[in-house]
Amino acid sequence: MNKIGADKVISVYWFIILFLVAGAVVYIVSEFYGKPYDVREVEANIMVNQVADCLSENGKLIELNEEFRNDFMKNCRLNFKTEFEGEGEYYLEINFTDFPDGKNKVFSDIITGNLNLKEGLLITKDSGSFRYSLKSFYSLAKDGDSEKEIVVKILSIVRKTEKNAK
Amino acid sequence: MNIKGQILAENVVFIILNLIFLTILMLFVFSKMGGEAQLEEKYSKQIALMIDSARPGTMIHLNMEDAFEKAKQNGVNYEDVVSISDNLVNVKLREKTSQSYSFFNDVKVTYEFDSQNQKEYYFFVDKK
Repeated sequence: MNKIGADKVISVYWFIILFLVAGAVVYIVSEFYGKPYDVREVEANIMVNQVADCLSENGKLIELNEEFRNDFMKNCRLNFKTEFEGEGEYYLEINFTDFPDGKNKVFSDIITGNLNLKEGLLITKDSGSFRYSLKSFYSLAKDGDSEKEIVVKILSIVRKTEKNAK
Repeated sequence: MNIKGQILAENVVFIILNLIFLTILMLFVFSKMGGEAQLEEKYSKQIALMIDSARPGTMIHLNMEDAFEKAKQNGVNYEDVVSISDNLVNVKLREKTSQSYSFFNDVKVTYEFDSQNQKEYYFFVDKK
């Protein structure tokens, strides 16, 4: 093969490489920028922190009377209304158990939101259709004249699949 | 044409084609990176999460310079870029469409475009 023929062969290979590189770049960029930002885990964490702030003041649990429970959403500044009409995009569950075992319930649970999300979490922990945050903290709760140690466990689940996943 | 002239012409065509290819590739990447839809989504979620994590009495300044550039190109008023109704943040950088995201924090949010520096939005989070 003479020199000009060899150069032509090289340029053909060069263009094949260029198209391969272009294909790879287009694929990677489309994959990265084509998907929406998934902020549900951050949202669930913020919700847990907000509820923890609402339930505890200076390390002591606030009084969980009927009035507080009935108006829990308003008292903790929560609004689960979204742009989607349906069963609901959020689930929130709060358990109050003894310290350190965490087996016996001290107070009844507070549950609000879409119950189907909790069932979904029990079936599959790693699902693209929702994200969750589960955190617990130690607190002191009034028990007559004395105080008892308790663990407050907060579970928050956020669906919002349409806005956060493809 | 002699052989030397032919080699030079082929090389020039080869280099030009390569440059065109690289330019198209870069344009594609940049168009994907800073698209209006991307910015609308980014800012609607960012504002919603900021409001979620804010306590009543908080004031937030958000620099949205890159979004304003796009809004200007598309003929959208700076004052119309962000709107909040109930608990839904809406960001609009194009004439016909916009993107929204809801927040769960049950607070009253007032917002204002900073007409002095033309770069920021102010958000005041207060009790309902």
